[in-house]
Amino acid sequence: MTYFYAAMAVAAWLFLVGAYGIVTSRNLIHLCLCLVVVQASTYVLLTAVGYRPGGVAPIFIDLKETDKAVDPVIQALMLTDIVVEATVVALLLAIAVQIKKKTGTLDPDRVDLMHG
Amino acid sequence: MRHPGRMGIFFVGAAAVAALYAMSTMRLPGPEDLRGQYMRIINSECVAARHVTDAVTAVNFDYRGFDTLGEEFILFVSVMGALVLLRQTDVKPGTPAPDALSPGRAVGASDALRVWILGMTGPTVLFGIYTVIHGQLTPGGGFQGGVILATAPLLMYLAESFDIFRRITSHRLVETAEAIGAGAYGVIGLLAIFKGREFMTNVFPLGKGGSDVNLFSGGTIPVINLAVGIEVTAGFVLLLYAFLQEMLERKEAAP
Amino acid sequence: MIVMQIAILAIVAASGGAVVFTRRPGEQVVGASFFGLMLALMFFIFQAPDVALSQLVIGAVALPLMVLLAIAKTRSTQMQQDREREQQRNKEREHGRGGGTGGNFASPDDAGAPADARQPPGRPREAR
Repeated sequence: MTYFYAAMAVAAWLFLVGAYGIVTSRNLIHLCLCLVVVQASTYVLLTAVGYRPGGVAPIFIDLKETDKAVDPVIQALMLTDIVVEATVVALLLAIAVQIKKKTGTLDPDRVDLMHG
Repeated sequence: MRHPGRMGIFFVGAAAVAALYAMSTMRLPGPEDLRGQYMRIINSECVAARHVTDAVTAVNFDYRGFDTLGEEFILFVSVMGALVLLRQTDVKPGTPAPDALSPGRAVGASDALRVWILGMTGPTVLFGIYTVIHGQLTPGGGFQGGVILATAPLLMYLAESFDIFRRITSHRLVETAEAIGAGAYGVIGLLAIFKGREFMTNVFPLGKGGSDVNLFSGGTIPVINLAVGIEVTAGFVLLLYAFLQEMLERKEAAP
Repeated sequence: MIVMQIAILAIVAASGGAVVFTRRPGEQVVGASFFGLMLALMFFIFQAPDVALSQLVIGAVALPLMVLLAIAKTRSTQMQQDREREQQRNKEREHGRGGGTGGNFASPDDAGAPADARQPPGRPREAR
């Protein structure tokens, strides 16, 4: 039970601190990593929702009591998202590299996209 | 900070989000009551109905296979986007290599390090393949194993040079693999339609079930798993190649 | 078990904060890699081995690597832009000397316009 509210609090903390990082960021690459932190908050939340006390991993290769396992649906949600997240961050990094090339700066406040 | 109002807006918004989140969390039923019926059915059915022992893979590639198809296309499109953005638009031959990464060998690897890395490459490939093909039996699968496999050429880059990395990941082959991986998933889904069933239905023979499940159990699950493994491997190799490419071309241009 | 769960959640929270408050990307990557590893450990403790494996490879290898390469790339872009700006400045200085009149006014904003400085790349002096 305690783990549940602890995980909820950690999820909120990661989301807010990541958003703070994005708002105050002075570097687009730093911003991408802050976005990774924000995404991690959803993982913490989903993990806590899918877990239950005393549960075991939903691998039934030598586990016969199927009602002991934790929720596989939520794990499947996170699994694909983690890999996709990495490619999306790669796309954002590529945009950052391109912005640096076009405008000569990585500071989001000084990037003037209209002149890029 | 150039926009002083921005922090004010952020803190008001963040406080509102935090308050609403706290309120909604307090009202949530405890984790004992959160158990869904869906999860109970999948956990009790997946071994008997799909001959698969990893429920997560069963959800990914069968029960919710349509969602994963969407995820896979997100992956495909964002890899393509990154490639387009990183494509060489203004290569000036003859520009000397800026020493951002030191030219020559990657990070000044010593001989001991090189031998060690070369020794680790084989096991890495093996472990990657193992992780991909055992996806429906044990933790692992196309997504995880694909990324492991994509790190193997990178080890070669660290140990030797970019040239070897490029020779291994011969560009066109990887691109083809990426396309095949993405396409095969959709084609396997369409096969069900030709048999008169719904899209993404598991129409292949399920193979051995019960206590002697093997690599071929699970019908379409191992096939889709393999397709995803190929797709992810190719996608990540392409990404690493694109990020490393510029360094290489500068390096080649320099005498 | 509960102690481990609370401990790993605390570590995840702390390292997530560290990632955000490290302002320089080069140092931040190290923190992000650690953060990814701790997330993988958290998935493992919360009985999600599939997700842990995925996060392990992504968080510890793929993501930091791509960020490092992006940093290297922007740094080499920075070097090239610096060099081109310097050439531009040199060229304007020579131009001003050759023109004779008003040498001091020849480059009023040579520190200003990095975006336009890219057009005539010329030949880098170090190339020889």
